[in-house]
Amino acid sequence: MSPKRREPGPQTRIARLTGLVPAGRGSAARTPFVLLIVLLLGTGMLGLLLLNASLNQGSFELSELRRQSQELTDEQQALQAEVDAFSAPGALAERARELGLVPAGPPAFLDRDGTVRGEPAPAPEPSPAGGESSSPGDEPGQPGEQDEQDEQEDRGEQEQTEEPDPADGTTTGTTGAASGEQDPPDAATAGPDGSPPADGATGTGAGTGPADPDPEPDPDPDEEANP
Amino acid sequence: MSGSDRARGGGTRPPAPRRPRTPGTRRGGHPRPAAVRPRLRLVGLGLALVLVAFTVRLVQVQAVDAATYTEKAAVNRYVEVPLAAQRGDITDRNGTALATTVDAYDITADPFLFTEEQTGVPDAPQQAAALLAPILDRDEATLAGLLSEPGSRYAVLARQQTPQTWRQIKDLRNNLREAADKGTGDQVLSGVFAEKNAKRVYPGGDLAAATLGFVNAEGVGGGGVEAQFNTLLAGEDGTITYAQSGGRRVPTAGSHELPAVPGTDIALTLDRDIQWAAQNAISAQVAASKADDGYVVVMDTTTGEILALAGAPGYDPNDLGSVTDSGLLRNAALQDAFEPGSTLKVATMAAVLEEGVAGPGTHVTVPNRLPRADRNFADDHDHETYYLTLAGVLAKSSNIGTILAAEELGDTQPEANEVLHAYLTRFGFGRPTGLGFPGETAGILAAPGDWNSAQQYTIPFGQGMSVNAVQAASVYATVANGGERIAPTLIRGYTGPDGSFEPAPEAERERVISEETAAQLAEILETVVTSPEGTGSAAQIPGYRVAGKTGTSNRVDPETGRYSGYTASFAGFAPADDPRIAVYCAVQNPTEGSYNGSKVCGPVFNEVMDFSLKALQVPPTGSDFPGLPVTFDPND
Repeated sequence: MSPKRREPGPQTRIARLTGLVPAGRGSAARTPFVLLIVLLLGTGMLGLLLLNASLNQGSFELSELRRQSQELTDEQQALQAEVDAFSAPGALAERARELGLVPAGPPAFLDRDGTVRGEPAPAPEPSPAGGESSSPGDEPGQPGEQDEQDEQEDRGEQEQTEEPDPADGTTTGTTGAASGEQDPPDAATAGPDGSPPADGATGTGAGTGPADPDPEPDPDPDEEANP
Repeated sequence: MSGSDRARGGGTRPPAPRRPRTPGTRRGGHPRPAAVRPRLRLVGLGLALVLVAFTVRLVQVQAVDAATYTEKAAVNRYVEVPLAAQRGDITDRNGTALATTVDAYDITADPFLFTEEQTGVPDAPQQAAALLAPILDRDEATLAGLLSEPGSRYAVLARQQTPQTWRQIKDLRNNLREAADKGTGDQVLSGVFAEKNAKRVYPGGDLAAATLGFVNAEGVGGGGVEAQFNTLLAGEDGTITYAQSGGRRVPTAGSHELPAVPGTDIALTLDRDIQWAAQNAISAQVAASKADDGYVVVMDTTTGEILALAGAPGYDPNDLGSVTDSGLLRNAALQDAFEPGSTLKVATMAAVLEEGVAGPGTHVTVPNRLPRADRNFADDHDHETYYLTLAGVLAKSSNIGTILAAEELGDTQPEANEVLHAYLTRFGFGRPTGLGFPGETAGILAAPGDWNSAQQYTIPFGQGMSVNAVQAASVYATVANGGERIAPTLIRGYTGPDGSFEPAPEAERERVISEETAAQLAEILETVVTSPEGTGSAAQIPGYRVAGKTGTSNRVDPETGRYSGYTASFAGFAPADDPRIAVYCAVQNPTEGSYNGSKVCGPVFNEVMDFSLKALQVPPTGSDFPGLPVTFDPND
């Protein structure tokens, strides 16, 4: 600002000294002109200042957001690892065993015309430590095969739907634990929601006890007639 | 630039005016009016000189040496940061990740910053070690030793720690700094740093580990699929160049970014659940039999896709450091060559049936000993002369019967050898499987002209040649697929960085035997399982029709090159009349309990097949098969 303002000063002085410019002639128009220049320069400077400030502000925000995104990525990866660990087949099998589930017996398939394919047999007794497996679709009066098939289908479904469920459960649970925003009781209830739907059962992380997890125990598979 | 510029300019400037001025003031001290003009000139001259000096310096800085200074400035102002490409995932056929990459940090330290003169505390390393040990899960004394190493400027405290661990350390360091500012504690962690070092994780642990392989410390695939597709998986690293000041990016200065291209995701044909079942079953059996190795291969017979490729003992690629024997890192199912034994008889029978020299009901009289090539061949047990059908030869797994049948392949023994060799080659023996797996063996199948006198009689029943487990499984998949061989595949497709899925190229198909022959073979193999006299009854699965064949072969000890111990195997497919799945199991050198293929591998086959059928929801075909006649009455 300063050099430009100074410029007309010496120029007019030199001009006056050499007698080329009549003294005081430019002074009448000078004030608005100077004001205009000052105004222009002032707004320019201010604009530049604001621009710079907002750029810097943006830069701070950017790095803050970057940090946040990094933290969230880290958290996501940690949770994903947890989900993977829960849904690994080995871990699933172990938990199913703890819940008293047993590997399915021979399956049966129901054709559209009503014929049953396969030779179903009752599932083997679960190991003494475990509870009882369940088949919610238990309809009295149906042949044994049908039940077995339902059970088979249930298991098939369970196998497919099981994966996301523990994910939800663990996600909520861990977020609660990590952020500390969630009440402990909530986190605790989130666990059971994540357990396999067919069992509607107890907390998974809690190391399920031998107690029967099924609220509505089904008849013993052995009691069903097997033609 | 400005800093050095100013420093140099400042150095030149003061002496210049001082020289003329100092004498000038001295002279000026004694006023002499006549001296005014020369003094003004002298000052003018001095100023001119100074201006000249400035100008010269200006030209020098701005024009002559400009490039040098720009370069010097750019060194500090512009930084080039590499952008690491994210390594692609390896998934199973359903998209579940079997290998993935997560962020991780190597926690390092500068022991110099833990010395007393730096921290002001005599036992800084010990204090720091006590703080870090529980976080890093390492021994406190070891950490203290690393941190108090004299003269060292670099120590790795722990490798590939989670970001959460690093954040914990940072928080701890901040707390210490606050405490130190208040004077209530000492900052002993200022010398701890972290280096980003992405970590490859295998969520399934040892699941399919031998197939996936591992990534070495440089981030390069060191085995298995990781090595085979390293270039695809690795992607391309990028760089970003930007201006920085005080460690912060200057927003207005331009930057140049060459983005990293993330690696391609690879989808395998493996099914995670079937893989687990196979691995579980074979691990248990290898442990129970105190065997050296065991493999299970599960193939989809309609597509040639490998659904499971399991080996035992395995290893956990997440914890490579604990693997003491580097031999464990191989994929035994593809890298071990062994004599297949009786499971190969099915290929011989395929040749016999296809050539039309015998049918399933053809009578074969099997003596207890068969003199051929300077020795007497025998079956695995002594017996009276058997009167078997061709189906019975396979059901009872008679070596002698197989030799007799194979002899019929040509008018002379060399001709018969040629024919058998041609079939074996077409079944995939003695050549690579086409998987392109690193370190894969093609097995050994000598040219028919080179078969020695004993080999020409042993090869028909699977001794005197060697195969890998996938080759052996492929034979059964071929028979199951109506005689058309589909080259085994392990890769289902690729998902590029843009998210588009590109399926793997179609597998090669090649007809080996006719459909009728394949159907006959399937019936014979089913007889092996269903017949009370068959060897394969262990494979029966209620409700399903199963075709299978046992194998108990003499095993060549890889160390001595001599026969020692046995290879127990079992191969088959189901459902026999509409095959979907072929399973092959082999256990090397079972030393505990039975070494019989039916006893050792039969249950494994059964378990894996049963699981696979259920996992893929294959319905039973519902038909019934009484089995082919196994014997005939010689008096008829």
